[in-house]
Amino acid sequence: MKTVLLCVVLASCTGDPPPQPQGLTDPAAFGITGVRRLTRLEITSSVGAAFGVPADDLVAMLPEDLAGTNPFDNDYEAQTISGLVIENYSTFAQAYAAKLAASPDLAQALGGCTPAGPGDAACFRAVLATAGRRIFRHPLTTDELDAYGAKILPAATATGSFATALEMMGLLLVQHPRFLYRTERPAGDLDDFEIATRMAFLLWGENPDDTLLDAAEGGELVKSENRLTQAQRMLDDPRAQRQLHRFHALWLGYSVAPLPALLADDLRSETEHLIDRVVFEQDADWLALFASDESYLTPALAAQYGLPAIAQPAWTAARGGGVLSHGTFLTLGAKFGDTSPTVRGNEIYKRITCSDLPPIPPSVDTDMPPGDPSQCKQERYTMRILGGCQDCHGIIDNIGFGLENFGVSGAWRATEPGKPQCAIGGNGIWDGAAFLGVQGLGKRIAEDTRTGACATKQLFRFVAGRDETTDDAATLDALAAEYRDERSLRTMLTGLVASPAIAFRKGN
Amino acid sequence: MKKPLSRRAMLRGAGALVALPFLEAMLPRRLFAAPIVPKRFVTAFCGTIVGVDPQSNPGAYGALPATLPASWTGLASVRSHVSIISNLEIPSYNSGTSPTAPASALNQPHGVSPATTLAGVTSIDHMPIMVKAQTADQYAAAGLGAGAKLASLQVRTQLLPYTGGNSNVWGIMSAKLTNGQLNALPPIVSPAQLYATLFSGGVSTPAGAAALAREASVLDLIAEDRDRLTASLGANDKARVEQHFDEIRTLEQSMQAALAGGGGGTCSGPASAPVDPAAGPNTFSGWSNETLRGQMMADMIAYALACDLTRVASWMMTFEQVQMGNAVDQATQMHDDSHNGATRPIQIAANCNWHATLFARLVGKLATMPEGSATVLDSTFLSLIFAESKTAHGRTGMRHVVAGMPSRIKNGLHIDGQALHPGKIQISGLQAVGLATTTLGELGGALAPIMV
Repeated sequence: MKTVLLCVVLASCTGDPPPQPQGLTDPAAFGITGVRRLTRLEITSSVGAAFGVPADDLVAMLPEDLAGTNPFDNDYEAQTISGLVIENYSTFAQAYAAKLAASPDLAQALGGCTPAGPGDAACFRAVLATAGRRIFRHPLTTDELDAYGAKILPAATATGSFATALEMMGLLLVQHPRFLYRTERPAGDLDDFEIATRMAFLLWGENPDDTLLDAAEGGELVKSENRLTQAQRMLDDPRAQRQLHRFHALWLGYSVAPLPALLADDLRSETEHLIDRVVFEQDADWLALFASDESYLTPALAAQYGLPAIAQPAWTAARGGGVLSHGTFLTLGAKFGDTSPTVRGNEIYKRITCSDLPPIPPSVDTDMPPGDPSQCKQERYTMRILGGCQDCHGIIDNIGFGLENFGVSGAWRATEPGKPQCAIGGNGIWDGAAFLGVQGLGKRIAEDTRTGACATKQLFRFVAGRDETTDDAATLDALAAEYRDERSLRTMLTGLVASPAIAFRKGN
Repeated sequence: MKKPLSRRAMLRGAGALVALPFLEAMLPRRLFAAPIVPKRFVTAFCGTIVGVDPQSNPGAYGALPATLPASWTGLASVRSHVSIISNLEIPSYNSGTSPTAPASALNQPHGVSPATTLAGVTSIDHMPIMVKAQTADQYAAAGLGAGAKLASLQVRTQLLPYTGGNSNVWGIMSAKLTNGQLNALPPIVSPAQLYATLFSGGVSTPAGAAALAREASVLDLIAEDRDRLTASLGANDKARVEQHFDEIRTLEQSMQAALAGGGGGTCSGPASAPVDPAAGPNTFSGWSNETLRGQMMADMIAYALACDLTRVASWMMTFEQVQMGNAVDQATQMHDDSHNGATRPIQIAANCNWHATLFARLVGKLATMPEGSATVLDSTFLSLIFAESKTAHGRTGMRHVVAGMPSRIKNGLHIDGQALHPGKIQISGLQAVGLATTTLGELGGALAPIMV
């Protein structure tokens, strides 16, 4: 793929059509996705960037993102509407609009003007034109500017304050369905602004910035090579890092993991630094995330893990297994007061191989600890070998046992808590073959073809905002093949942006 | 001095509010008696068990005893307004062995109870939308909701799943069928947000009225864009966006009604907004001061009902399979407690009573709110539904609580449920508030023993 990208760049110079990523050359490669509503974080990020006034502190006022059937927060099929949801948007808009009204430099920042009075139509129009384009992801028409000004400015005149106009503008824009929904034409080739919107939410998780909107306004984004140029720029922006942090946190499940409050930032930092290093700094094999021997530790985290003390945050040759040995991920596997090989194994199995297990039989009580609690876990977890249980537990428990040397907090341990007689060997089984410890597991995961296919499937789900369907089979195959060939997430993202699929909507 | 609330003023000051308990002083100083007294319908849900005997057993059927057992002591102050129903039963269904499921049966130990008790349908797995079918509160909303600011209100007290995971699907208890599509209705989980949502009663001052008028004006402006935005959309997208516009228009009309002197906007508002208690870590046995959150919510639900801001409320006190810290010291999980009946009877009873106490707070508030010659409680049906019975996963010998609407529902009693399905409580409630409902999902008929 790197060769392909070089060709794309060269093609943009020679005028030849750029080669397309293998398998994504069909414009209709993506199946059907219905209209998508912005998530909480997408809303706060977008309005914060558009107005230059942070909205993060108001995120709790927005309706919760409902979980769907995949790990992500943006499943459009789970998004529902009720009177209460609309009220939530309204109260968020009011709170945010109040912040806008209290921002003394907003008119200058957005409109380049200082209002001469409460009803300064020219200044308001300049402010609204800038803000409206950023929020609606499309320039406002003259009619829209006229209509909005005609309704808002008299109210500002009535109160004697231009701040009223700013407040009403905020009320209008941030709860408008045109902002809250990423609307697209029913089917066919998308226009530049629709493409810009897809690109921005894919790479940044928020509205397009002025540069991308300018490119859209200039009619540049229908061309693959121009999209590629923009994608490279956008991937060098910190917002791309934030977006991939979000993706991985949702995929691997630690987005709201029960991290200890005093260490939460350190723990997240460890994982986010690894993502940044693998994806952005080294553009290395994406699945090195599960096999890296290096870790970015803070002094507090080193102490937590029981590693040699360090004076300041630094990369260290750590425990191996990449994210698998991070406290962010390890905290997911707790049950019955300690780690659960079953839970950990299941998390890995379903999230990293995208494999499903059959439903738990009704007669199984998942709330009772297995076996005699006084025994060692190796003796207690007999479900691995019992008929009727081993089909599932033989898979997942044997994965989880490979991580037993790590407690819930991520600290290393040689024996089970309170049971010095219960030595932990770290022996596990992955796909029928034995491995030893997190390094062994990480290596097996990184080598397993299911992992690459699953990672790309999870990426697809995140990008598409839904689960895959049979219509997406070719796309999923193409993404998996691309990963097998190139191993680079960054390349995959630019390939997606350059592909004709991002510029086309398949109709019902 | 209490004064009418300016919603806008509250929002402006939201960043600088001091933590004030949401107490009696925050209740409205006057309530407007509507010309026609509306009927109201409230369902509260608890994701745990009621407790082992004798802690949860009120004793002989008949009048509630003077001293309630440990699981229900919180109901003491409203004893005459509530009834505890024992001996209710949800049938089990194992699809692997039984060819036919009984009506509204269970086949999984967790994550499915609301399907049977609130929607009256058989659970078939851990469902993404756990209720699976339209819930009773939405039938109530369809029959009672018109005219109020919100056709229905969804609230949840437990802030986080406390599972260590990020799924909130077990924190939803209400669903509505719209155009054949079942929509899960996400609850408000922040008391401050609930306050901001409900109490826009700023019409009592010129500045407040002007602010509300501006808000309504902006919503009208948005609504005018409907055709322009939806004209270019495909049919499915259009239907979704138009539903959003419909709700915007409803909100705008409720604001206009408030400006005109109708609806909930005419009620005096609380003097100050609540401040959300700090969120705890999303860990097993986590705790975010849900007691205070629940108290705030009980008060605001009462106020919302009394002021006709809504006539239907679903109140999820705790998630199904509640992993929140226990009600004694948060040292263990409520759910884990339920599996240790022999060693944690005190915690189990306290957990049940924690829910009962919050429920009693709401009932008590409604009982003190005059409405004509009666009280708001007299026209309100409430139920307190538990996910499980006396033991973990228990589906027999279930106990639930009903309150209010004394003209149709027996109050002050311990009632034998005669091994009937607890989903019938909702049918009874719907009938009690005057709806001609005879079925809920797969269930038919009211729970006769509780009907007057």
